[in-house]
Amino acid sequence: MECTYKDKNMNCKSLFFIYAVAMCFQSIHAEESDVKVTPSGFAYYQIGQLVSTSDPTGAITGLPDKSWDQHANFRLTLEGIVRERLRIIAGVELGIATFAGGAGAPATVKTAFSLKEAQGIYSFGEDLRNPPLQIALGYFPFKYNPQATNMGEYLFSYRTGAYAPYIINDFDNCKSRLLGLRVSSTLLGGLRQDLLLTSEMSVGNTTSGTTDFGTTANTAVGDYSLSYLIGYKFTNIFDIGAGISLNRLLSIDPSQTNPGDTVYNTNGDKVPLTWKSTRLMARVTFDPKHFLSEDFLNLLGKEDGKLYAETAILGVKNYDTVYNDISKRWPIMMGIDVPVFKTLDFLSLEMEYFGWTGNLSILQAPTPNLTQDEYSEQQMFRWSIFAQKTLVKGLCVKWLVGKDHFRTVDAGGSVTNEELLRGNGNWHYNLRFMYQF
Amino acid sequence: MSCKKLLLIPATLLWFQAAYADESAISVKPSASVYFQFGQLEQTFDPATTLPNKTWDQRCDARLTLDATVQDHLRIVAGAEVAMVTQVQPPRGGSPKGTTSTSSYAFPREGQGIYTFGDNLENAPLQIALGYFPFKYNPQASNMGEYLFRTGVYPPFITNDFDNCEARLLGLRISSTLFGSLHQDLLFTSETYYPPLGDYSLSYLVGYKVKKFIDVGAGICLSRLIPLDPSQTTPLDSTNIVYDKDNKPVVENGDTLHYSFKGTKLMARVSFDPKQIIPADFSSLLGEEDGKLYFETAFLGLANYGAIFDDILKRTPCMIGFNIPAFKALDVLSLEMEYFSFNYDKFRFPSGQSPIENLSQDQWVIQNMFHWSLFAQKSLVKGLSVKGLIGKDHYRYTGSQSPWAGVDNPIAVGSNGGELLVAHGDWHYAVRVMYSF
Repeated sequence: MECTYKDKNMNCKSLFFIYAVAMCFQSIHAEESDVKVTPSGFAYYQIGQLVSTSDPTGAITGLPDKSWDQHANFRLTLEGIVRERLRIIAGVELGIATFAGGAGAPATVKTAFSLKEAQGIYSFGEDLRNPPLQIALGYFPFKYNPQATNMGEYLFSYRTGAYAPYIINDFDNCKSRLLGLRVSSTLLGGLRQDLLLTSEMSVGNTTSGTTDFGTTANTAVGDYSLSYLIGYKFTNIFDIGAGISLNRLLSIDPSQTNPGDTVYNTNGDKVPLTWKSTRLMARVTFDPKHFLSEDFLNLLGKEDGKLYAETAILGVKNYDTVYNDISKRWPIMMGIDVPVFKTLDFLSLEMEYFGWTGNLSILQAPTPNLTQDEYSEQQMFRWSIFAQKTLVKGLCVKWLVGKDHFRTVDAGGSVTNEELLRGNGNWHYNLRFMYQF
Repeated sequence: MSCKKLLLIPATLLWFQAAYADESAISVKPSASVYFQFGQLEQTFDPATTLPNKTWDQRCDARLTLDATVQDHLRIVAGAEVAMVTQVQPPRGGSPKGTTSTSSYAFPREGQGIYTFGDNLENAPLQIALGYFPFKYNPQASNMGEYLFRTGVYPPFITNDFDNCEARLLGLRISSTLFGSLHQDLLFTSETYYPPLGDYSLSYLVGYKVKKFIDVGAGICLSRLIPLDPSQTTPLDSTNIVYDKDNKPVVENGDTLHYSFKGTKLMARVSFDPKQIIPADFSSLLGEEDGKLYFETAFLGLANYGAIFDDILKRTPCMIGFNIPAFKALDVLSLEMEYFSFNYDKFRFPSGQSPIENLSQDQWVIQNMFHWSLFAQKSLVKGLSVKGLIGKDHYRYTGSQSPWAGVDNPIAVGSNGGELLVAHGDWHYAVRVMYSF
């Protein structure tokens, strides 16, 4: 969840605080006790452009074609390890963004200070790198598909919706951020399991507009979801995984989880629409380098040549007359790490097919927007190319170009509900210079 | 000053530190804590207009602190906090749907310099601190008490905040510890929470410990001794005139008397640890906090004003607490009860317009005189603890209208600043899992 952006003047003080803290790390002395403290962080400058969009004049989003997007972000993370087994991680981030005003309006500069991580992790067992049991509680990043660089990671509502379907992509942020409990296990070195009980957080701009029912919209924030994932690595050749998520299994306020919209199924029964859903996910990665000769292998980078795929069902249940075709809630992503022979860290090409033809906005009610327009068929196919190059230790450049499920942050600081790259010729790019310590 | 110029300052300091820092003279210790908290407002006196019963409150919070010690005697402490808050309100008033609010806050937690004189740095004969700092004078109080700074004078009000039974003060502190057990504090502080803001108060506290047996203390606070704007501290408009019981304006020295936010508070406290006089065989079974009895009282305004603030005993909160023996099963299990008989509506927090705004007598006044809470804490492993609270205390809606908006300050001015637990059956609970290093 991100803070809303504030005027820059209010947060120059925050910016100074971040730098002052970073300055102090020059002379940190580790505590001479059973607590080891490790600071880390990064700073990046990013620039991007919406070259061609499905809203070329910016009438819907306020961001016409050729809109520029600039970000400078600074993150500070402190990790404390207490007696080896308990890790405590706290991370905050300050972002400064310039938004194109659109339609001739002046650009605005906004800042946001947000919490990025706040968790405690306790590990059991002798092997703390692959513990047989690990428990984490708090707010934490979670990535189950190590190969996905931009698309995929469909299981959690941080990135996808079921009723109504949507997908979110965010440059260099191909993971979810979850709030709750994680119980993980790594067995036999290659079998990993995760059980998560997470609290749903707001997605998109939840403060605007009204539903068809005349009430202020919301996204049933706070409901608890139960998810289980399993993954198995077979040496370095195959990595397979699957997962199930009982989204919003425990409802905090049923009146919000089940907003009362009713539809009729083919039996003529009234069926209340709900935010609840059951999602399934499967993924596979194949690294053919294992079968190559060593001479050729030495020419390739670690990621080169990998093939991967991920698919999911965003809601296994059909609601006839509304969500009546499961195949339309079934995104499929395939990717390949194009061999770059160590000139880059990696160059990944990803493609996706998602057959939902309705509007992909992040709605505030399960009632889908089934409006068909010129982009309904064109939006099914997406692609992106993501590249990364480490220049020197700690300094890297990342670049993405593509037609993905990009949603920008509007001038108010919220993720826009509407997708911008739905048409055949739509695309955007982003370039990020990043320093990590 | 532009942000770009601001960057030059820490950059320069970075260079200086790298070039000239004497590593033995400066020691920097980072620390952090994160917590995940959930709670529920089970029953409130006015669910129709304030918050509905069963309102769900969930938070995730990260605190980062840097503590730099320069040549042993000078400490510089800087801390910031970022919190994410989710509140889910069930439907009410015939509405079919409830509402959800999500917000993120970032705010300073601490920013002070502390200089210690003398050789004994832990119990220094003289210590001077300047900045924004936490201040707790009653070590036993777990939820209630700490009346000298967490209260108003005219009108009198009390605030409580889960696991935050202390004040945060901005200004100057001069402290002294003599003979190892006599502690004194002189504080000159600026009002940062309760309007009118900025007024300076002068306070003096003394505390004496007789070994571990008895701990007594007292204090006086000349609240708003130096107002920044006298016209706001003592509004001279017609709505703020002091009337006597015959409804006649009170005249002093030829001038019509007006109510003022200024006032004098007195505080006294005592805690008694009976473990010191029981056999060691039995006391060894008990935890460090078990069995302690403690008491705190205060006068919130020595002077009587007209017909409203006419009885000093009604501005005298009394809190009694007992640490129920938990035989080391818990760190502490404290039961606190409070009696406060101000017989006007103290639900609404004053906006700063007048000391008598929003004061009225209603059906809840009698029931609101009694409050109670039960607080428990258990350390699971080093760095990880669980805390819980249940009770009918001075819980208020967490608002965002004060200068230090967010969970650190449970106060919101005006109509949102009301207490929520005033009737006999009202109660709430909260549970926090906290990691810290």
